[in-house]
Amino acid sequence: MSSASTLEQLEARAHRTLAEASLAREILRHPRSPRAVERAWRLVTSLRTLLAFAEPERLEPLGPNGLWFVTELFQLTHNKLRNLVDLAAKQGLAKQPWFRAWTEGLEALGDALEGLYLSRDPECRAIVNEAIKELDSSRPSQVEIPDWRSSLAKMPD
Amino acid sequence: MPRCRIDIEASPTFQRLLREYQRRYPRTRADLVDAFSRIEQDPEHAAHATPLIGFGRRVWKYRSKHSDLSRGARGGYRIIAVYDGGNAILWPILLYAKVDRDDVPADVVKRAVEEIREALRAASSHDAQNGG
Repeated sequence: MSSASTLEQLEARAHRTLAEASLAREILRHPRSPRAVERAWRLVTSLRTLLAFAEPERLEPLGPNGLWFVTELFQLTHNKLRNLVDLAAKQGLAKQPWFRAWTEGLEALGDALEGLYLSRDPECRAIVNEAIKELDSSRPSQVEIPDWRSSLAKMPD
Repeated sequence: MPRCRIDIEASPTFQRLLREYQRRYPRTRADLVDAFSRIEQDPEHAAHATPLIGFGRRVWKYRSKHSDLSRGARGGYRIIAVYDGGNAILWPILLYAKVDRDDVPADVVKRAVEEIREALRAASSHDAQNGG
């Protein structure tokens, strides 16, 4: 799949998620309405689809501009979902099953954003990858690896 | 039998952060024992393993509970580590609690990876000089 195609699909999925988030606001006014609950779950499905699409293998070939664009899309989605989660929590809906799924989606978006912030910085990306290459060539397998349990145990309290 | 070895001593920054958290929160060590026990068995899946995009599955983020604040993995500690799958070695380079920061700036990761590279290079040349 080309980078342009990846970006188009991701953009379409992000916009779909943003639209679903708007519809899901109905749950704030009518928490018991079956239609509102269905919309709350549709947002979850949409979020999961978006997140599944944003795998490192698909995003890594994108250049800095592409990654910048993806980051902005994710940030928009994250902001909108954060707002929705906060409002739902204020209305005492935090124990609803869909609420838990929303917060999991929010967390996953936050994780994806964290990686994106790092990788869309071309200088950081280049320096880290270069450092890793050098690390490989320094033959770390020949260096003795201390047992991590002993290392932790000998730390002062 | 662990699937990878974890070197928590190589990164001075990780050591410093670990000491700081251990000083502030007495159960940090126990939380990390729990996390590392799982990570060493399955470094690409355990402890909510997530590869950071852009680094060819070499830089990973893990989540661990934070018992002192009664937080599960979601709101707990984050461990950033460099993973060498070929030699099955993982070097944790950063540790932070979600309550302290939402994410980690690019320049901090950059410095931490450069630091571990220097530390390992120094260890390698020391071994070579001593015939190791």
